Formats: sequence, structure tokens, C-alpha cells
Amino acid sequence: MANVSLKHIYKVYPNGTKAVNDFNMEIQDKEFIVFVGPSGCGKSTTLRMIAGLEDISAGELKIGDLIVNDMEPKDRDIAMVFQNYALYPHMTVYDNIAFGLKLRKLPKDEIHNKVVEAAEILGITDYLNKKPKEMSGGQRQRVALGRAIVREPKVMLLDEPLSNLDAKLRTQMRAEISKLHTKLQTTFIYVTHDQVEAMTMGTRIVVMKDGFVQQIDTPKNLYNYPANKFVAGFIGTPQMNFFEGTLLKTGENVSIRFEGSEAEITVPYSMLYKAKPAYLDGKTKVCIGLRPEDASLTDEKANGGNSVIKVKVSHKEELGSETLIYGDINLENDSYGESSTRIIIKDSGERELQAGDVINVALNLNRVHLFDKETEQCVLPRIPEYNYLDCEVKSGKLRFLGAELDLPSAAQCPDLKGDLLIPTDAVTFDGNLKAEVVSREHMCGVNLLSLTLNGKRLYAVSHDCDEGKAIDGAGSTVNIGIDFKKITIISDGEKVLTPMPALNQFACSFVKRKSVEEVEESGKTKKKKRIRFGFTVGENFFEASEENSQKIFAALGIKKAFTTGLKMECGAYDLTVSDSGIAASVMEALDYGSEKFLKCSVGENVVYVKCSEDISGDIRLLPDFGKVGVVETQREIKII
Amino acid sequence: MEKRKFRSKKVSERITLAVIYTILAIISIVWLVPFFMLIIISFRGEAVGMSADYLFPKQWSFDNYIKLFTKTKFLTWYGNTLLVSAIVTVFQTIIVLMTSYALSRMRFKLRKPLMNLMLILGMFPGFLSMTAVYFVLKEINLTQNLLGLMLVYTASSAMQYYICKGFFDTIPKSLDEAARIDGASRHTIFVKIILPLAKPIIIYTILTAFIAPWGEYMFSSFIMLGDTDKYTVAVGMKSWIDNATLMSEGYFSIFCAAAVVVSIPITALFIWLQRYYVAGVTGGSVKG
Amino acid sequence: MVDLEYLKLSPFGKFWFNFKAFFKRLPSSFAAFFKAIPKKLYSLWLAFAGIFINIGRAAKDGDWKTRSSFVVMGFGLITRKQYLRGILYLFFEVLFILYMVFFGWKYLAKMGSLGEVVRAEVWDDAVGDYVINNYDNSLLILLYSLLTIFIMTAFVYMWYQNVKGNLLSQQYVEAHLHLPTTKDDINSYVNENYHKSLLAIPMLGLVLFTILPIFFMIFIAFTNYDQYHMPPAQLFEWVGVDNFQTVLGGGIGSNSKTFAYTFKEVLLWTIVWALFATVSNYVLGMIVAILINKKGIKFKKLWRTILVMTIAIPQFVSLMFMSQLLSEQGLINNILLKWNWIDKPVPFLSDGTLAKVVIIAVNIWIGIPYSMLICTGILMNIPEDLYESARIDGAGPFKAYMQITLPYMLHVTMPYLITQFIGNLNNFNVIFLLTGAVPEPMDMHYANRTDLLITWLYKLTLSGKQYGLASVIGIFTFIVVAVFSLIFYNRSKSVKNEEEFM
Repeated sequence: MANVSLKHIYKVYPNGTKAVNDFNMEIQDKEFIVFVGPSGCGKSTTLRMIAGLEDISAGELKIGDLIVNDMEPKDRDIAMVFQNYALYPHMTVYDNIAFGLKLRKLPKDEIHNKVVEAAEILGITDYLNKKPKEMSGGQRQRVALGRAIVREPKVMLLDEPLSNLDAKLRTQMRAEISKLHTKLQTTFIYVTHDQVEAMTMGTRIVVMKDGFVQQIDTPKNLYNYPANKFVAGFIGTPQMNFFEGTLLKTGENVSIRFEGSEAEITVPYSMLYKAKPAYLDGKTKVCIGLRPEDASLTDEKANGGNSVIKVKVSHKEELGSETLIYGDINLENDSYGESSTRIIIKDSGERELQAGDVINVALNLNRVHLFDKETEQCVLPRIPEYNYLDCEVKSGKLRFLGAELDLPSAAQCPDLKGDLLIPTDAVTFDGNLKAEVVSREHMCGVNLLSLTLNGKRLYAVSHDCDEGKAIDGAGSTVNIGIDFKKITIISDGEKVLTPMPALNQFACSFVKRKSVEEVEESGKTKKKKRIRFGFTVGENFFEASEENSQKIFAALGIKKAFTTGLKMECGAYDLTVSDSGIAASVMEALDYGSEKFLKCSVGENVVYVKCSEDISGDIRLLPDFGKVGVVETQREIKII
Repeated sequence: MEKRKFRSKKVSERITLAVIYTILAIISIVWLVPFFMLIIISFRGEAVGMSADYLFPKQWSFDNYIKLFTKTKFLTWYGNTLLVSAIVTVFQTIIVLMTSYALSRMRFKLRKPLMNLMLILGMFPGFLSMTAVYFVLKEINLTQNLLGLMLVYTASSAMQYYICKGFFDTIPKSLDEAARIDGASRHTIFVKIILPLAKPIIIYTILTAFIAPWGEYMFSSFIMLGDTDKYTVAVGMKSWIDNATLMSEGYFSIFCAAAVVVSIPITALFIWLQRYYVAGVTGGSVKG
Repeated sequence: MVDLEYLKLSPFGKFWFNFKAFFKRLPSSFAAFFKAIPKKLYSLWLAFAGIFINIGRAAKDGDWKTRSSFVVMGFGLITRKQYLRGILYLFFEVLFILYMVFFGWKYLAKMGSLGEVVRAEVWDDAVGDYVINNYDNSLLILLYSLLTIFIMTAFVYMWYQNVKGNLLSQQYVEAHLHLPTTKDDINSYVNENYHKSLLAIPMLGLVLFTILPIFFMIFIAFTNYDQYHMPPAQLFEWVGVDNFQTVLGGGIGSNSKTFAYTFKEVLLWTIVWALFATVSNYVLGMIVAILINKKGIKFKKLWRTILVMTIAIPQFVSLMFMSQLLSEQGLINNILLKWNWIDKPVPFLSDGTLAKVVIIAVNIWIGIPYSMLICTGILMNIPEDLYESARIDGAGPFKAYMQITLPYMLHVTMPYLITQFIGNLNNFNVIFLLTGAVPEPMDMHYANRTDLLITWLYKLTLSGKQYGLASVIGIFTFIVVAVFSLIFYNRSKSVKNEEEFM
């Protein structure tokens, strides 16, 4: 019984293709994790890396408390079920199940008991003396499961175990595997390309595409809050409808215009308040996603006011309990192919419809999803990233939402009227603005606070640890402030004030140093050679911790460790001004009111450092190696 | 109208079938007649030498067979060949299996170069290396020695990995992976998983390895040059044919008797294991 | 040309288009080949330089243990508790030194001259009789020098591995990484290094009995080793490319003209033979297979067994029997004479042209069962629905054969055809056992009209004892085979894709 932890896992093939990119995940004990995605997305590769059948190019894989990167599969305490069952054809079912135990040299009686027990769980006791050839697909899969569970592994890995079975058997086995999971109380990792399997079985699902993790979430969240268009389209049958269109915010309303259709719908802004304002300008094209079940036939007339649009029916699919109506919001089109105007409606099927009929369809826009047309990222996030506000700067004072704050010296700007971007995590709880808490939701490990400041909405994100500062929940009042180093002010399309970069980067390399030390040993001073490993930035040497150097060796190998170009990444708080360290010269002192920073140049890089006093001239910086990250430059692989 | 067309089609089909049967019958005769001739001549009782102008013997007798075993060295040659075949079969099969497994399942830097190298080596006429091998064998006193012949036959067996590797390649890799997860070492996988599954190809390898020395002439004639006690059947029987005096003394019938004796065990073996041979040659695609 | 236009062409047009395109592409592919050479050379140079860089690094970064292993192999490993590896290296080094001092060096030193002391009987006062002097044996000198060079190469490689391994183990220790222990090492030989355990013996056999002899024979081609220079009685020596000149007709010797003529004849016949033998067997075998497998034919298994049985009878038996039947005093001639169909014996095997035809015919008789088997296997694998769809499209049996069977067969059996062709180029048995005893005509040198390169090689060696010249023929045989196989392998896609099936 164990956790599995994947940190910055990469699979890079010799020809440079990255099959898996920066896979990060903490799998809790007893979870049922499903990796899902189209073929070639890297899900099987990831599973095989966990199994040890595939080398890990970079990253750290832990099963339980052990780093298992270089461990043989047999020592990892895992079991695996393969797509084609991989039963040994020349052995009986009994021998198949017992094979692993025999190799582990267990006593015969114990083997027998275990095999019989496993066979009973799976209901294959009658077949124990048969060869795999004489069995059906479902029975073979049970034997494969039996072979896995008999070893009582910490983690069960299943690689598309049901895809060779027919549809009916698949449904049945799905339930059985879920039952098995409850019974065994083991961590399961399950790979499939079938989203139905993923949704029905997983406690958490990892959606992958082209080697990148798209989203890791519970089935429900995946369905309700897809992070991008791919996930939205992948999860759910029939597929989500996607339209192209524009959004225009006028006052407290937003009008949605669909490309290729006359239809225009106006909704109150409060419905879309989480959307990024840049997309509400009436020009930027967005992808509007709406699930078939959120569209329904209605008798209401379509007009500008409500969320009803006209659709021309092209064909329908009767599924018995419900009917899928295929139509087109472009009344000129016939919509047999997939297009950005096609719509699928899930309906109870009571109304007789003919191809060519024009019907009225009501859209449930409370459940609309918006995606960027190019990047396909969600622009209506569950946790908004920024508050987009109008603001005014006048003689060093920033006015927004009816509040006024003094701009610190580092964030000074000329007088202007423009837009203010306050990241939700830049709202602090120690200022002197009074805001009222409207709601507090816990999601994705943080709390999303919806506040009102002078009656206007403002979002903030708080971690549980911040809550000591008395947030009682809805209805209470909190003191808030703004972290100025994170805000952006835009005027006439130009960024007047930009936030301070969160990460500093230096080029560095990993080196070996030899030194002679004098060691006192039983009263005598002895000279002792010592080998030290560390990072050099410029001419400075920083000894690496044992753990870090092991990570470097594990990722790069002992030969390449010293020749590979590396990049060091650290935040402004992870650098301290000191007597020794990286040489830097101060370009500017930044005062953000409560905090002070130095903007320095290190070689060609610009670096920001937290500092309590103003210093100028040349300084030296000492990174905190507990928090520094190291990235391989060439392949962009995060090692530490 | 339609009915007639249907019938005409049937008739034409029958004619085609008849033609094919005729052709097949002719082919069978052409292919079998020489062997019947061989058998018939072996029972020829009279010593006519090469001047015989008839096929069926005037006197049917077993004399040739009796002479073959009593008056000639055939039995020695037969024993030699059997011994060489048996031992070569064992070692060649082991070597071929080992090489095939390594090339099919293991991934190492020199794998491709090694396969290319063996491809290129296969293009050199085998006899080219014979002189050098001969002198090496001579240095270690293995010429005119069966052991030397065995060594020569076995030494380059690795180059015959091709068919066997092809078979191994068809065994799913997931079996290996499942076994690895079950805790098996590569060696255990080879012995306990792959070998039991490779029975057809093992038998094929054994069969071809066993048959080869019976028909091989080039190397054995060179190595055994001059020592008639160490001849294999091929070399020995060729030595009769090359000897015009012997042939005129009616050794042709004895030769035929010898040919029959040589053919019997191999044919029997072959018919017994035909299934595996055909499977090996065709990559396992012929059923029945 | 656009794809659509290409599709409009007739089959001949398509062929012509491809043909032209091939030659049009030829200069650019040549250019690409030569352009790739500097790159290849550069990477080769990098690899070569890498060796010295590694050695240099070991000398610079190595501690005293690593540096000592430059001289005492495996020293660093032993001191770092990798006993097995270290001791093996050391053992190998000791063995190598002993070999060189007591054996290898003596021969290698004489490689330039191939020996100077001729075998003779000299008077020995101590014995009081004539004894044989301590003579040089050119053959053994060449053979053992080569062996020594092989072993030296192996030693240099091992030494380099030793240097690298020592440095690596030092780095492992410094980096606090887990250094494989002796137990791990042994374990690795049934796991990730299992191929080494498996391939050690097969490769040793290959090196000693195939590669070393091939090198030896290549060197022999540059010597005058023949019946007048037979060790141990005589010495032979390096003669440069004389043998090649003789074979190609530019030699000084009186028989160079005959030799060149023979070479031309034999080479031509070898190629013609291989072509005819391969194609005839393949086509006829396929036809027989199609006949047997035709729907409606009964006793399929019987027909097949009749043919397969003929494979079982040792080839040499049937070949020798045939050679007897067909010889001028053979049974067939005798019977034909008796029936007065002919006046004098037909020279089935002794007349050049007739013999060639007869040989190909006999080869068909021998080979068809085999190719029939292969074709049957593949025919059975052609999906039935291909034929069904062809029939629905209105294709007759002949058209179906041309459009489906033949392309499919050719595609699948290409590798088999290539190996068959190469095998036929070197087909010793059929030729030698059928016509090996036929006397050589005057204008040929140790070869009759039906000899292939390989049988000529055999005769040159065994009867002619012209080893130097035979080696040249061997090299040429290799070149012929290699050229043909390269052409075929490159043209055949199914061979290229073969790796993808794994």
C-alpha cells in the first residue's frame, strides 16, 4: 500500500521526441487513477515507466518512500495487467498465476493457498487446470488479474486491459475491476483510451495529449470544469458542441454572437464574470462550448433577449431513452460534417422532427465553456487568475472600484486612465481596505473568495494558512490590500506597469572540485583530499547537497553531468544579499511599500532580489539551495 | 438461357480441373520416377557396370545391399556421418537459439552492426575460408578427424540465426515484460518462457542441422582428403562415382543401394516432422 | 508531375516514368552520397578523437588508482572492490603479455618477409646426423601474425575499456553512487548483459572460423602461394597485385590470357545461372502451388507430400544419381541407343551449352518442391476478400493473378528471392556433383563450361593448388555477390521494413 509520486518525469527518445513532458503527480494510497488520452499521448509510456519497463529520461519516481528510477521491475513491488493479457501460453492457469510466486521461492503450500484464494476472488477456480488457449477473452483477462493480485503488490498497473474485449464484456469487467479495487484496497493506475472507462472507474483522471498532461482532476470536475478545449471535447458523449463567436460586454450585459449565424444572445455579466475581460471586447474570437445536454428544445421564440436560438435540423439518432438531434445554427447549412456551426442536442425525443425543420433551442448558458481560439485554453476558469478592473492614476494614487491607494515608489506611473490587472493571489489580507465576503469556495486546494469592495466584485485566493486572519465566511468583512509587485496597468494597449518576474534565471553548470582539507584525527592534523560537487554560476562555486547532486547524476548520468548546460531558477525571496556569492550590480532599488527589492544585473540576466535596505553598487547574491530549481537548457527538463 | 450459362460455366470448370489433375499427375510422375529408378536399380542382381541399357533388373536380389555392408566401407561412413550429424545438431541448435534470442530480445549497441556483419560474411563463399581453416585444423591435428569436421560445421552456426530470430520476433514482447514483472531474469525468460514456446522452430533447426551433414560435400571432402576411413557418406559415394573402374564393375547398383539406405532414415525423420519443417520454411503459415 | 497525372498513365507509362525518375535522381543521390561523406568522416573523427579525450581525461582527472590501471589493468577496480571485473582485466593482460612474449611476437616480426630460412637438412655435430633446420613456414607466419593482430586489437580495445571503466568507478565512488559489486556484475550477465553471455561462444566461433580465415585468404591473394611455393618445403612471399593482374588478363605469365578468358566465361555463366535458376524455380514453383491450391482440387495434401518427400532425400544422392543417368555411358543414353532414337550418345553433361540447359532443368527438378512450399504458405495468407472484391469488379482468373497474386507474392517473398539468388551464385552442390567430373576444355584453366566461381575456386585450390589466384577469385566472388545483394536489398522495400515488424 503506497503512494506514488512522479516529479518532473520526462521520456525523451534518442531522436529527440518527447513522449512524456514534465509529468507531475502525487498519487495517494488506495486511489484509482486513470490515464486517458488518444493513442500516442504518452499514457502507456508513463505507465511503463512506473512499471520499470521503460527508462525514465529525467525526473524522480517514488513508490512508497523509495526512489525507484533505477530499480528492476521485480523490485518495485508492482504488478501489471497487459492489453493482450500476456499469459504464458504453455502454462496452465494455475502455473500462470503461481509463476511469480515460484520465482520468489515461496513455500509450495503458501503458493497454493494464494493461488486458490486469488482464483476464488476472480471466479476462475474451475479453470485452474486449463491452458489460456482454451479460455475466452474475459476469462483470460481474469487470469491476468489473478496473476497480478496474487503477488499482493503495492501498486497495480493496468494497461488498457479491456480493449480486447467486446462491448458487453467490457462493461461487466469494468464493474469487476472497480469492485476488485475496493476489495484489495491497493493503489490502481489504469490506462485507457476510452473516456467512459475513465469516467466510471477513476477516483482521479489524468487527461494527456501529445505527451503533456492536460488536466488532473476528479471525473466530476473534469466534466464540469475542463481546463481546455481538448479535455472538454474528449470527455463526454456525444461530444461537446463548439461554436466560434465573439463576446461583447456592454454595461452589465454580455452579448454572445455566433459565427455563421444570425443568432445573438444577451446574458447578464454576472453569468460570465469569471471570464477574462480581454475576450469580452466583441472582436477577439472565442470558442464557445456547450454540452448537448445543456441545449433543449423550447417553444419560446428566438429573439435578442433570451438564450434561445434557431437551429435547422439535419438528422437525428434515436437512442431509445433519448434522441440526439443534429442540427446547424447556420440555417443555410446541412451539417453532416463537423463544423463550427453544428449543434447536437440531447432531447427526450417526444417531438416528431423532419430534416430541414427549423426549431428553437434554448441554451443553458450557466454551463457554457469558453476557450481561446488559438491556445484552446479555458478563458472562463473556475478560479479566475486576474481581476480586470478599470482604474485611474492621479498624482501617485491609484483609484479602482471606488477605493484609493498610494502607489509605492517602485510602481509609480504617470497620470492615466486605463485597465488594472490584479492577480487573484495578489490580494492580501493585511491592508486597510474593507471588503465584504460574498462567498467562499474550496477548490483545487485553495479557497476562492468572492469579495465586494464598495459594492463591486473582487476575487481573491486564500490558502488555509492565511485564514488565520479571520475570514469567517460569507457575510463577514475582511481587510484587504494589494501586492503591487504583481499588478499590471494597461493604458491605450500599452503596459505601463508590469509585474516583477516571479523567477530569476542564471546559466550555471555542475562541476566537481577537489580540495585538500586538514582534518583532526586522534590528535593529529591530517591532510585529507575531499571531492565536492556543486554548481558554478559565473566564477562562484556553490556546493550541492548530496540529494541534489544525486538528482543531477540520476538525470544526466555521471558522464554528461559535467558537460550539460544548466539553468538555475529561483524566486526573488530565495536570494539574499551577502558578502560572498554571485557578483551582481544593482540597477535599481524597487520599493513596493511593504517590501523592498533590488533589480540587479548578473552577466546578461536581470535578477530581482528581496532586500530590506537600499543598497547600490556591486553586491553579491547567495541563492538558497533548498528552493532553487535546476533546468537542463537543451531539453528544457526540470531536474531539481 | 440463364440455366445454360450456369451449366456451361460448370463444364468449363470441370475441364479446367481435369487439365490441372493431368498436370499434377504428370508432375508427380516426373518427380517420383527417378526415385523409383534408384530403388529398382538397387535390386539389380547382375553386375553389368555402366553398359546396362535396361531399367528393370534381370535378376532381383539383395546382393547389392549385402555387398554394401560387407565389402565396402559404407557402414563406417554411415557411422561417421551419423555421429557428426548428431553432435553438430546439438551444438548448432544451441548456438542458433542463443544468437537468435540475443538478437531478437536484447537491445545493445552492436546489435545492428552485428547483424550486418553476419549478412556480409554470408556473402563470402564459404569455401574461401576453407584453406585457412584447414591449416588451423592441421596445426591442432584435427584434419582427417571427425572432430575437426564437427568444429567446422558448428563454428559458424551463428550465421543461421535468421529464421529462428524471425520466429522469436513473433512471440509477443509483453510476455517478456510480464515475466520481468513477475521477477524473472532474462535467462529465466529465455529458458522458461521463450524456449517452450519455440518448439516448432527448435524442431526445424534440429531437422535442418541434422540433415545438412548428410549432403555436405565441399568441406568434408577437403578435410577428410585421403583418409577413406573418415569419409562421410557423401564423400564416400562420390569417390565411387569418380572411380571409373569401380563403376564398370557394377558399383552403380551398389551406389543406388547406398543411396536408398541413406535416404530411408532422413525421409522417415522428415515425414515424421514435416509439419515443423514446413512451418519453419513458410514462417508458420501452412496449416494441415 | 502531379500525382493525379501520374495515376492516369498506363502501366508501361508508369514504369517509364519511374525509370526516368530513377536516372534523373541518380546524380542528386550520388551528390547526396558524396555530400554525406564529409559529415560521416567528421563524426568518425569525433568518435576517434573521443577515444583520446577519454584517455586524456582519465590521465588528468584520475587519482593514483586510476592512473595505475594504465599499466596494471583493473587495478583501480580491484581497489574499489569490483573484484571480478578487475581480476578479469588483470588476467587478460597477463595472458596477453605471455602470448606476445612467447608466441605472437616471433611471428609478427616476420610478417614483412613471410620468412627467410628455407627448410633444409643440415649437419648437426651434436646429434651426429643431418637434422632439419629451424626453418620458417610462411603459411604459419601469415596465419599467426594475423591472429596476433586480432588479439592485439582485442587487447587495445580491452585496455581502453579498462581505462574508461576505472575512471568511471572512480567517479562513482566520488559521487557516492552505488558501484556495481561483483555480485551485481554476475547478476547482470543473466539480465541486462545477457546478450554478452549468449553471444560469447557463437561470436568466438565466428571470429576464429570465419572472419580470421577470410582475412587470411585476402592476404593470401597478395602472395605467390602456389604449387611451386608450398610450405613447409618452400617459402612464399608478397607479390603485390600480380595475382589480380593475372586474373584480369594483364599478367606476365603465359597462362594469364587463358586465365582471364576463363574468369570472364565463369563469371558470366555464374550470373546467368543464378538468374535462370532462381527465376525458373520461383515461377514454376508458384504455378505448381497455385495449381495445387486451386479450389476444387482434391488430395491437396497428397500432391504436396509427393513433392515435399523429394526434399527429404538428400540432395547429393539425387544429384549424383542424375549425373550417372545422364552421363554419356549412362542409362538414359544406353536406352535411347537401344531404341535407336539416337546414333551416338547425347553429351547431356559434357557439351557446354547442352549441359547448361540440363543443369537448369535438373535444378528445377530439385528446387521446385521447396519453392512450392514457400509459395503455398504465402498463397494461403492472401486474404480471400481481395479475390472476392476482384471478382465483383469483374476480374478473370488471369487478371486476378496479375493484379493480386503476383504483386503480393513478390512483395512478401522478396527477401527469400534475394537469398535464393545469392545462394545460387554460390551453389556448389548442383554444379559440382552434376558436372564436376566433366574434363576441362583446352581453352579453360581448371574449369569446364559449367563451372561457377565457387566450383572453380574449389578446383583451383584442390587440384591446381594455386592458392594465391584462388583467393583472388574468392574476393571477386564476394564482390559479385555483394554487388547483387546490395542492389536487391536496396530495391526491396520489404527487406527494409523488416525491422519494423519487431
